[in-house]
Amino acid sequence: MTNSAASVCLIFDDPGLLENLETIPLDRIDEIGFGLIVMNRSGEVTGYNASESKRSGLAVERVLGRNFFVDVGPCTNNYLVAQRFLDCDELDEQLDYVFTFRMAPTPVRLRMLARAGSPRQYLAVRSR
Amino acid sequence: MSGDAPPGRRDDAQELQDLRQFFYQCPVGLFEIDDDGLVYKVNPAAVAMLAPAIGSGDLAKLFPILDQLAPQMISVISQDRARMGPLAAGERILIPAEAHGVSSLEIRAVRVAAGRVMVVLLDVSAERRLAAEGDRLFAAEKAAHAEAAAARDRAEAVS
Repeated sequence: MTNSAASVCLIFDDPGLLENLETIPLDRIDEIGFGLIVMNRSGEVTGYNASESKRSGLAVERVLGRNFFVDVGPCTNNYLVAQRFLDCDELDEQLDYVFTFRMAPTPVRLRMLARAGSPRQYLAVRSR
Repeated sequence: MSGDAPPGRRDDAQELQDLRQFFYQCPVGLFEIDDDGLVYKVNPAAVAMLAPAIGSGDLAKLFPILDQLAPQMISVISQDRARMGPLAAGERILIPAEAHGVSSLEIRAVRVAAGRVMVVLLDVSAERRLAAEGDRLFAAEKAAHAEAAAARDRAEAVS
């Protein structure tokens, strides 16, 4: 990740994904092949990549600065997802879930990630 | 915004976006299903409420979920398919809501057109908690009255 010209090649299931996400600049997240939402520790969206924007139908500019769990992905506003981020300073858990992209049920695999002390937290999303 | 865009076209797109946002933010859970439970539309609140029951399922069909939670709703929806409007009084169910807690949900079904049923989910947990608190206060008041009456009786017996 030190070479800015190198392409971003992150794997959803990679055990080292969190470490890699912590070093990636926000202007490179569109190069990631799965959906990625970057938030501050209050849940406010600071990064929303092209893959996620395309699937959700939500333009990036509509999403940035809004609370993800309340305004953007309210289907995750429960103890299984939102509460996990609130409860855990350090987090790396996967969960099968259903998103409601364009009001259609869409099965996804979520990976919830946060490193203790980091100002960022991440929700990675891929189809299943 | 170019002047070449057909008049009204942008308004339609904006209206669709606004309508989608309206259902996205709606705190009531909504499904559109057919008479066999196939899910056509679902809003985020419905998924947030039912997620513990959905588990690793795909939510393509609602009946497997209803079978766990409110099986009689399946026959209400799938029988008498010509019946329109509200199909039954709301049915209340409990569903896990946190590590050691439950939510109380009310499920209703309304046939809005032939072959199209709207299933509505309301979170009535607050109402349930208030009722439980009311019951607790009533019981405490009753016990206090009984204790006061017993104390009076004991005082009268002594005098």
